[in-house]
Amino acid sequence: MHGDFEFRPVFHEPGPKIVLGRTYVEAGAEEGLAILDDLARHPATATHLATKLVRHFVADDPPEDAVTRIARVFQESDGDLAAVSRALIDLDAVWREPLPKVKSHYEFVVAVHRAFGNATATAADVVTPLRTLGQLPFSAPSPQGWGDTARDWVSPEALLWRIEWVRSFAGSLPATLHPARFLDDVIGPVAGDTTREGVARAPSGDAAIALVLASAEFQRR
Amino acid sequence: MLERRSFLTGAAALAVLARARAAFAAAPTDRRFVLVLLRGGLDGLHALPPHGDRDYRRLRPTLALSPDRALDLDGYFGLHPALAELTPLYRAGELLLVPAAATRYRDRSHFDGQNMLENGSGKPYGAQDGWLNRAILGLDGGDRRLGLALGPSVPLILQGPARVRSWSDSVLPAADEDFLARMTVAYRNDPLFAAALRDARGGAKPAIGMGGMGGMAGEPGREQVYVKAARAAAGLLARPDGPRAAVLELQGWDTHFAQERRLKELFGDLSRSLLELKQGLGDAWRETVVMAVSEFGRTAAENGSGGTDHGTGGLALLAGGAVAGGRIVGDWPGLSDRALYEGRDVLAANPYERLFKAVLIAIWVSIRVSSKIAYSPRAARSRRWMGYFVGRSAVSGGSREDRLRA
Repeated sequence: MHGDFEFRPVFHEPGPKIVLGRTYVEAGAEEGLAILDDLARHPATATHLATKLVRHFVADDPPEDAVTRIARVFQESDGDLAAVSRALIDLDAVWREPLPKVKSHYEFVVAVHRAFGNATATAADVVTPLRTLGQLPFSAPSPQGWGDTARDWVSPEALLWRIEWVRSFAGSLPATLHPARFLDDVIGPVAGDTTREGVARAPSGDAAIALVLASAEFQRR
Repeated sequence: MLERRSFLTGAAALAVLARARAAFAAAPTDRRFVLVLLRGGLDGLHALPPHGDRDYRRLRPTLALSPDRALDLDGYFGLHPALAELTPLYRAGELLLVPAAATRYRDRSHFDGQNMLENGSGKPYGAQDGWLNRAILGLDGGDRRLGLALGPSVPLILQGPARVRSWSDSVLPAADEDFLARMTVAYRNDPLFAAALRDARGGAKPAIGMGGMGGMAGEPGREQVYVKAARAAAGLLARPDGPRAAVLELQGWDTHFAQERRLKELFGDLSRSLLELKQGLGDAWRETVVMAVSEFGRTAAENGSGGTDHGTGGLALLAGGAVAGGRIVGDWPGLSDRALYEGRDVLAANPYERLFKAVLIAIWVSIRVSSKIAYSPRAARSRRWMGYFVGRSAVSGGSREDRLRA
């Protein structure tokens, strides 16, 4: 029964219900569906979803015009997420800033493993750092889910944990990676001068790799 | 007839098993080799100052050691006072110093230089494994795990087909101060990250992990880690069934600034680690060669920040009962303008590669096998260096003098 919906008539409250000013006559399981339909079409829903999407892809502080546009697409397409996705891609705002957002701990850990094409990463390789960083999968503190702003991911403690993790992770890798090539592969198009110089001057190969992974460019998206 | 054959098989099998058990009881050699990798570029002139040399004082107005501060060794070179604990080794003939020594690497990147030093192919990234691993393979086919890495990861020099052991003190080594300082510089153009790291560093030290193998001078717990690692290495190497090649790594030698203060502490770490090895190895010390090397040396002149920059000729420091030491050897080009490499560095007159090869031949392997290990093909070039190692003792209990004569 896990994950499935089941209607139990014995717990159902009989009679009409009023939700957001609208009356729903007694109709058993159908009532729930009708309420959900109406909630989905509510303008606030469009704005809520649009705000979250724009915050996720554009900026911590979602620009109003972008939110309005996406909300309108959502409403006009009657909730067609494919249309909404296309509208997001079409937004100028998405493409203007190269790295406006910061990766969540989960995105960061996955990105680190992907940077090495790490097909052999075990569950422990992902779960252990996530546990330390405080973002275990399926363990968000509330149904609101995880935060989506830089402040949620870059606190002094969290940043230090991330740096220490990649420093020791880089130390455990085969020493045959060429750091300059690694930098180009991983963050080439967005790497800034201070990161490039830092890598070139690093005191050892694994320190250089760790520097790439701890760089602001790699931690951002 | 069937019964008799199986009886013979049984007895023969038992005999083989008995021999095999005896073979596993001891490693295939008594000789131990410990390589100490000083990562960052050790300034040879600071460790072994030519205190009597006028060019030396001219090139280093603030960093030069005066003749009365340096611990004189041969009237020209001396030891930095922070290495004082090594003077007894020198007097006992167990310390050998080679100034103006380096690999054939001539660029200035730490990781390229280290990679070339460790892979033994003659160029950076020229091989995916390390020459010491290949040497171990030559010793016993790689079965016995004769290599020992101390620290959180196996360095390139020990990577390869032969399996090695690993010993590490800490679970999650903290990023050392040197690394955090570099991250601070890297974050300069990103206010969000810069501020967060500044707050993190300004606050209390994070309570995660121990010092690991990292640690800039001044960090509490740093020296304890090196001493512990040296002690662990000695304990394991001393065992009859233990490893025979160990690699210790010391970080923090990249002294572009504050060289006097930082090297004073690091020299203390280094000498304490070497003494810890001698003590822990006990009798096995007479069969041991320790060699401390770095990816390059540093500039002959000091820079404007109380330090030195990446150079070429550095130092090779050898210690152990199997070393015919008590002297400073190799070619010394001097520090005159003409003598300096590219007008700025100590010339690399004494190639590390020949020294590595000489050590391997002297203590472990045949010349033929050693050719496959390190790229330098002709043993003749290494012959000069082989004289600095004590011959293998044919009879146990033979005196050191007997062996030196051999």
